[in-house]
Amino acid sequence: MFTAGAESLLHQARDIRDEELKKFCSRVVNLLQKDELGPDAVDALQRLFLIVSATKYKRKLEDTCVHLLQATLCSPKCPEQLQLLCASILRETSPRDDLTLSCDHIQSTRQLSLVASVLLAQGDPKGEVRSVGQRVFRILESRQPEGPSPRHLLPVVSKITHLAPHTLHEDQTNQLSKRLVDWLRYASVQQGVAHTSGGFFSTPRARQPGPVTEVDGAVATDFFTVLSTGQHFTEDQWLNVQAFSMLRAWLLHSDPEGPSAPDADDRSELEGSTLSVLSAGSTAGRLLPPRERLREKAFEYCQRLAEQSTRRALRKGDSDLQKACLVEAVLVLDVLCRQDPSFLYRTLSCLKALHARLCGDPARVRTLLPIAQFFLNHGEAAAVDSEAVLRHLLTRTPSEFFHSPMLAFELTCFCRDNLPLFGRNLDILKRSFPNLFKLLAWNSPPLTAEFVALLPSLVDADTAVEVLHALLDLPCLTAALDLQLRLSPATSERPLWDPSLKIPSCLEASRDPQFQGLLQYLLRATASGTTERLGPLHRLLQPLASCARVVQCAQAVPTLLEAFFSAVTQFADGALTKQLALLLLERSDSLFQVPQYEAHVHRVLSSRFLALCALHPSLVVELAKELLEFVGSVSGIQGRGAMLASVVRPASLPAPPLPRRAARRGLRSVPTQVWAIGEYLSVSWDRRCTVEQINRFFEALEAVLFEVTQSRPSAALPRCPPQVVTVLMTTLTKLASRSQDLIPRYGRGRTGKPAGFPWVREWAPDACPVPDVRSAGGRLLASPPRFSSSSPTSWGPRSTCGARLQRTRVPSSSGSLCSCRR
Amino acid sequence: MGMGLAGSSKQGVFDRRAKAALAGGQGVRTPPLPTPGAALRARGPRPPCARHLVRALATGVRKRPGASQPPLLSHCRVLRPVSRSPQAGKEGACPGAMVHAFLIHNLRAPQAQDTGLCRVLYSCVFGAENSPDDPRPHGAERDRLLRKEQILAVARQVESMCQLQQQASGRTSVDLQLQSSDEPVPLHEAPHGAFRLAAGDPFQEPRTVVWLGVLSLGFVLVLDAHENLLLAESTLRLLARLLLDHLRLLTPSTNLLLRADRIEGILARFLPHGQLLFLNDQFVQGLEKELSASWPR
Repeated sequence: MFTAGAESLLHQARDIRDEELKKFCSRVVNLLQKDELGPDAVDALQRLFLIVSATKYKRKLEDTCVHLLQATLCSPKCPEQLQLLCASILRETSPRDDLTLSCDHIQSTRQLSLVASVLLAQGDPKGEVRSVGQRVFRILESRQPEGPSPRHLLPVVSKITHLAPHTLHEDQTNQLSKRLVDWLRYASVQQGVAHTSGGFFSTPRARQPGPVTEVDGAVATDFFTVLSTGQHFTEDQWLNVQAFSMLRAWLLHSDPEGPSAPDADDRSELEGSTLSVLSAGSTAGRLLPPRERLREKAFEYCQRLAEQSTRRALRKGDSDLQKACLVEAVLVLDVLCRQDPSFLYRTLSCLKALHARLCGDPARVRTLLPIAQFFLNHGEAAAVDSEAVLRHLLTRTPSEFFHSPMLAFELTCFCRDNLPLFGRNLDILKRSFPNLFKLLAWNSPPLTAEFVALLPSLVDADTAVEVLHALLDLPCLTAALDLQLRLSPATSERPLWDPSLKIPSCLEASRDPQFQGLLQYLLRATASGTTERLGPLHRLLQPLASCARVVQCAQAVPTLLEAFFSAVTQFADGALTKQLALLLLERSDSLFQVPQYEAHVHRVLSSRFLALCALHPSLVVELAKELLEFVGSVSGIQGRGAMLASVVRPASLPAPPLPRRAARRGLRSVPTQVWAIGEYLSVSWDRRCTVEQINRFFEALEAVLFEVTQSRPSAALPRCPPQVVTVLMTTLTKLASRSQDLIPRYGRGRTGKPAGFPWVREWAPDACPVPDVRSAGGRLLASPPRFSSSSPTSWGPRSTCGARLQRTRVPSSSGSLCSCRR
Repeated sequence: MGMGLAGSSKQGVFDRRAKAALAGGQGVRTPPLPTPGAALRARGPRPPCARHLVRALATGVRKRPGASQPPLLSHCRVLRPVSRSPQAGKEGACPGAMVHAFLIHNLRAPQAQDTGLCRVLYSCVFGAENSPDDPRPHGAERDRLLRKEQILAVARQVESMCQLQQQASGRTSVDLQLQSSDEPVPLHEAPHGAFRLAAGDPFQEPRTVVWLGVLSLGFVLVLDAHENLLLAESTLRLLARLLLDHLRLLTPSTNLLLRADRIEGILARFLPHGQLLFLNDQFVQGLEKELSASWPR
């Protein structure tokens, strides 16, 4: 347990001064110099370990102390406990420059493994990895039957090949491959003998050890594997475990097409396989070389594991191990087939049978992933369609197991990592996005980053609209999944949902056929190509909106929306852009009511609306009708809070973190739609723009401006934020500049005095942005520009963005505007 | 870009805790390399965010206040792109699959974020991350500092993930009341999960983190990206069970801080050099007997 005592101990360890540490070191030195190393030494070393490990900064240990620690570690008589402590202190203070440790004369393999752990932690500045590797191999090569057991050395080999793949020579690699074959395939099938020390209860005559058994208790039918069990184990059985544990890494390492070839990644798989086919063919006549022999034996081992995993394990631990072994077996088979395609046909039949068996076993659903991976990797070479496997994986698994955090993580990573391999099956992946979103909706914290990477591949012109709807409804999906779990019969002892939240009305109402249909739509497995209005469902699920899982999911949505739009703008044409822009207008007031959700989403939506308009400026003219309706609906609503918020973030609310890009572009809190009207409703962007249109927009916006500044039904409602007024006025000014009819209405003359909307002055005589606009308007009107084709102007809070646009798209006729600014 | 966005989405969650963790001991301060002992006690200005610092340490772009020195770790500056292809990941420079690190840290209850800090109680890194030579002085020290920061960054993320999961499943308070030490802890119901760390944040290589929360302790394995997760998960459960049993962690008076030898003894047998082992029940029992013989409980 972590208690206050532990906390204070940590503090003490950190606060120890250099002088104190010096004294303590000399005490350690005294203790280690004694002939008999007792509990005092253990206690002192435990403390020393805490002192050096509790801080991230360097602790200066006395040279004699470091020297003695190394000597104790290498001393053959020293008890294991002290060796472990010495090694851990040296490792904890590494990398060190003053290490004199060497593994050249150590005989005990356990000790050698400890020394190696210290040396490998140095980061290889002096070639430690190579020297450890050579020493370990000398011992492995010696092959004395009575000599030290290599059991403790195999993990060191594994680590060395991992850290520095080129350390071992070709003949060493072959040597170890040969020995791995022996350990894997020819371990004893008799149980080991217990090493009893002749205690009181020990039987006087040693019993003959029996044969090893399978996990279900039956006598083993074939060679020993990690799934064979017994009371005691022989040394070669231990080595069998070690050998299988490192097998996959070793196969990858010992394959010359693998790590040693620098361009291995670029080479197509087919080329690599052809090479191995040829080499295998040329050696077929004589005894297989070690590498091929190891592959052959590895293949047999995996087949035996697959067979053994059908047995019913007596112990829970063994049943878990069966699953892990199945996964590993399939992964090893995958490596084998990549290295030598002649395994492919033998493997396929085995894996097809395995897949058929596992499909119906919910307890082993995670083993389906490596199988699907195998079919993705080799489906083409084996002329087998992986479609059925993928379809099963993507359509059934997520709906049933979205609540398992590990499965959700693995499946998401599977999709993300294999994107290049999906090929023509990518369509299955794209179509099953509603299912994948279930994983995300339920497990948003660990999966958001993965989905940000995955989204660009899920979205295309056909699915974009549906994906956007689904993203906006993601918190609602979380709530629906919660409801679904509550309605389904209990699967585990502990509820998967938040039991403190009681929603009897929800459970009751969800039986209503109207909601049933909507729920089914929301919980669909694959893309339907249609969209449904989920408003009633939002109301039904409202009691779940405060649930922490829903709130977490809602927090992830803005990030995902950004990723979505970044992807979609890469390929969206005019028609799709128009659809998406319409969707933004439409959905801005129909979101699931989660605290803060609407505000956060509106910020992304409004910045993205503007970005869409910037990409396709004629959007404003094409959507004139809808935009007018949108603007009209703003003015029509009495308590305009929610809708106005869609235009601008109410200034009274604390500013939540902005998406970085939006902040960079200065898009903080702008009524974007209105701004877009001012920017793009002009003949310079679209020839179809008419004076009538401009007039109608002007009238609508004028009404809005009047309303937001004049009518304030209750004092409790926040006053309209000045930014809205600013942008409305700027927009009106711009529109006015484009139509002769509007000039008399806008200003009362070219007096240079503040013109336009006298009530605004009454509304906010000292709100800071307003005078800016008034003077801007005044300046503009003081020398009116050519009305027919004015350039987009930019004042007010969005000057940065406006300036950017102006730089890129200044129409040639903007001379008058420039002159009027001077 | 994806990663940046993802970071920003989590920021609300991570920042607060990261800052809380920064406030004290193991938190991040201006790295005063020449005199580490004195610097440990000096309270420097608080940097904006620990996650950023770790990223900066890994990428070598952090500018220390008032110093025009070269970045801490220029050799790490070149970030490797996240390998998208599974082939690239499996057959890259580091083939195979091993555990990079194991750590134990404390878990605070979600509502008690202000009490105490996220502490790494034990950590073991198996081998050093491949790093080219750094000829400058203090290279070794920087390597160690980076390693410790990486581990702390993982611990903080795990704590956040665990708290979020606890909140989501309605278990707002980590069960802090002690059970009797005879009663086995139901490890299969303990909160657990996995997440990925992109290359360069905070490790050079992409990594997968598997975690398990037991009462107020978090047990974590940092894995290579393509490790067998089922095996890693059951190994983590096994390690947690062994540590709870052999260190009697549930008894209030015990303290794992001063029992590194036992933890090391368990790791040396069940996770040697970060190699995940396929141990069936009988093998586990055999190793446990060996362990008990070396350390009588």
